Amino acid sequence: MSRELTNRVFSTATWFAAGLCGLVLFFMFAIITWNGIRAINFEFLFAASRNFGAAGGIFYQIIGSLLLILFAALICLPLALGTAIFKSEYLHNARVQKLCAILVYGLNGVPSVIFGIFGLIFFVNVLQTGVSWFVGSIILAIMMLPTVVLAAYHAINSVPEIYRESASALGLNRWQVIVKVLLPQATSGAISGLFLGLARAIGETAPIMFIATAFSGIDIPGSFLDPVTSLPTHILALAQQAVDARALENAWGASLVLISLVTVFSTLGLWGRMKLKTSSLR
Amino acid sequence: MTRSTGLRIIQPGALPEAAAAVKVNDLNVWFGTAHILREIAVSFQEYRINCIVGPSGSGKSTLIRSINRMNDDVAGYCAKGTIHVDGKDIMSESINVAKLRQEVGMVFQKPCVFPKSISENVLFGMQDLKKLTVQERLQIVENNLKLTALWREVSHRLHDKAVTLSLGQQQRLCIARTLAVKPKVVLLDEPTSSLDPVSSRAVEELMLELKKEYTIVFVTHNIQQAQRVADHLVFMCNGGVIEQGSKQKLFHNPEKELTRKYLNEEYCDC
Amino acid sequence: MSASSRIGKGYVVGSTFLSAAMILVIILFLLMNSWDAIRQTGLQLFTSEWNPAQDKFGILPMICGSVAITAIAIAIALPLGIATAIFTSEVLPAGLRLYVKSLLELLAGIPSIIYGLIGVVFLSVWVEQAFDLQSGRTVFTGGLLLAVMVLPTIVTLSDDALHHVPQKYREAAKSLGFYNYEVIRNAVLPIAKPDIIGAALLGLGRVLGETMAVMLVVGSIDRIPEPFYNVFVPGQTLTSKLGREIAETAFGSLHFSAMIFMGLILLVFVLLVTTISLTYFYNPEDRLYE
Repeated sequence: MSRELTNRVFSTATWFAAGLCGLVLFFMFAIITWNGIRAINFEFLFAASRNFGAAGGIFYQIIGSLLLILFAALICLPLALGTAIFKSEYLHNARVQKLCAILVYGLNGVPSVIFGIFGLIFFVNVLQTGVSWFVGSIILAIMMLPTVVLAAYHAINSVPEIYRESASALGLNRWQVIVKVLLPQATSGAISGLFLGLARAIGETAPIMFIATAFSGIDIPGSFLDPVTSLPTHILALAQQAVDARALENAWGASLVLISLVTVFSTLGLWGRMKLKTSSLR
Repeated sequence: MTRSTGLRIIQPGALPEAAAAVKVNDLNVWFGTAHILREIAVSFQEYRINCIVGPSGSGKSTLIRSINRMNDDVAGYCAKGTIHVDGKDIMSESINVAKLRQEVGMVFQKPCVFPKSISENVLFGMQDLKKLTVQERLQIVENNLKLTALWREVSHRLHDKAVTLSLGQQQRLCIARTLAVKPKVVLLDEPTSSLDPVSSRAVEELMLELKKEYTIVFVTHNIQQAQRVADHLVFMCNGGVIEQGSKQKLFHNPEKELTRKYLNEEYCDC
Repeated sequence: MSASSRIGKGYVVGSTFLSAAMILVIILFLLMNSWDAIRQTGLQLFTSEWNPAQDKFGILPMICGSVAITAIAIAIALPLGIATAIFTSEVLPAGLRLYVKSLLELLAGIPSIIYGLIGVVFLSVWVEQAFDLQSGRTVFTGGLLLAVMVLPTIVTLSDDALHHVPQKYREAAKSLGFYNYEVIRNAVLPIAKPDIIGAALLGLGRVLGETMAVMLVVGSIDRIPEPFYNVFVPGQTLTSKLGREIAETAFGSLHFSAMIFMGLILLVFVLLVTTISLTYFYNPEDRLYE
């Protein structure tokens, strides 16, 4: 085959692949939006579900999901900030630093179902908490820890050395330098990472389905040790009764709501990350 | 073919005018709305060192990159006019750009070796490499490295990574890689600007050797360098050609005041 | 040292310790709880019969299922993803690339349960009709669904890998008279290769650990297909087994312990793949040229 022909074939192949890829992804997008929009109305968003999800709305599922990730964020943020500060300001031994990085970022590779199992063993059975939304928040917080640590760490590292030096030169001790100079920067970085983590956490089913959620008959949990309902587990339950057209329609509606929430969080996260990049360049 | 690698004093020799190998006519180039080259009409002579001088931003690189159509993929590029290489109009739609670039090779400002061994780098641009025996390949590597005066320095470590060479050696390796494709015209875009003086001298000497077999078009902003190696000189400023002719004429007998000032390194509006 | 300094240091050390210890704690707990199964069942764990009623806990069918689904997903997603990445990085104008990248990022964030829903409602029905099967919930369906799911990730990571190759290599190769495909094959791909392998491994790790989408479409039959390369029958993966069964298993029983052992095997697989992928991404030797 001549080189020119090969070039032609190759170029056609990449166009074809990109076209196919685009088509598949567009199809995904289209069916979720199309099916979702038909299910969504005012009642759907603000009413409790009835008849095992086949009727009514998803109000308490939305509340449950938001509650889960709100507390996950509250648990994750201080832990991640502390870790990031220690890593960048106190840890100077290269080997320990590497070990620390492997351990923390290793969490990122753990399959989500493993987090669920860990929660089931440790909290539900060993600590006897029972199925509780707060346990779900803790597990989600652990799951998104690496993302937030990494974002905060990058933010601290982008603080110019001269800031630290000038603050020290003013007679501030190490902790005061951290609190006054680094923490504001680290927090803004960590929060953009937090949004990215939340975007992932809110859509996760496997970590919470054994330990934090129940399917129906639940509204606002009365204590930390009660289960909630959430969007992803609701979709799961509805998907399993796929023969019921009404249940399926509600599943599409819940999916669209869930994707919208994911999109909001990831847009906030990406926007924050971009802003951070441009401000550190200045 | 043997030659010394040590430096010798380069005599400013003067060769008679030769036939034009590259002819540029009425060339205009835009990048987006910026008019970079204006009505360029120059010719570059066969088996000579054709040197383009001028301040930075005068369009030297754009001109030289037009000769093997390296600008084609730059965003917003638009060109009008004709460029003839060996009598063929290379601006025409029907030209095979890949084949053109095999005939018109190019060496860039910064040496760019591939993360491969030295010999693999020399053979990198060869097309039907699979048909050659190991012996033939080695011969090609040796020939081209000798041509670029690198053979003595690297013959004992042809399988080392090319990035372990010094910058000057890397640049000569890039020239060897270009020559292995057997071009007729070699374009060099400020090939010595990132090198130290000794390495620059080595590259200059190499050019003097190469002009016996190749047509060389060479861009520099270093006037002394132009004086040392050029046969034919083109002076550019603000996207236009101010004057062209033999080196003697431009240095000693320029028609334009601007040329005289620039080549004497006096203050001028360029 | 002042009091605030001391408390502050205590806080940062404490949180680092907690974060770093977490993965070890997880591994430790999985190990402790699978110990019963390892001790009592031993090598019988690696047989092909799973029947809790008779105390038979062979996890081989689940391992085979996971391997098969991962192989199918990667075999489809990798060539398609790399070809698409070549398109987005080398062909697409730079202005459009940013939009395409953001869109891909968005698609990579779609929760897996939604892929599961699409799998149940559309893909399994299509597979059933296209191949004239009794049920569309097969190993192949799972692999296909995961291929679609991991595609955006592979495309963005490979696109980054290609995009990080400095422009000068493309110019140098072009100036030697290469056609576009030769520039990509001879100059760009070899330099981007380590990062692309890293991307592939990362995708592989993700496919291996994916639960929800697989669980809904794989069919959930704990048997190695006959013959083993027949992918158009229902199967089971490590993750789908865990997702379906663990909540119904009594804590402390041998059955539970065997389930946790599966989790441990899964975790070891995934961590291994992820660790290898990280060494590809951050290998300083390969970045000597930058």
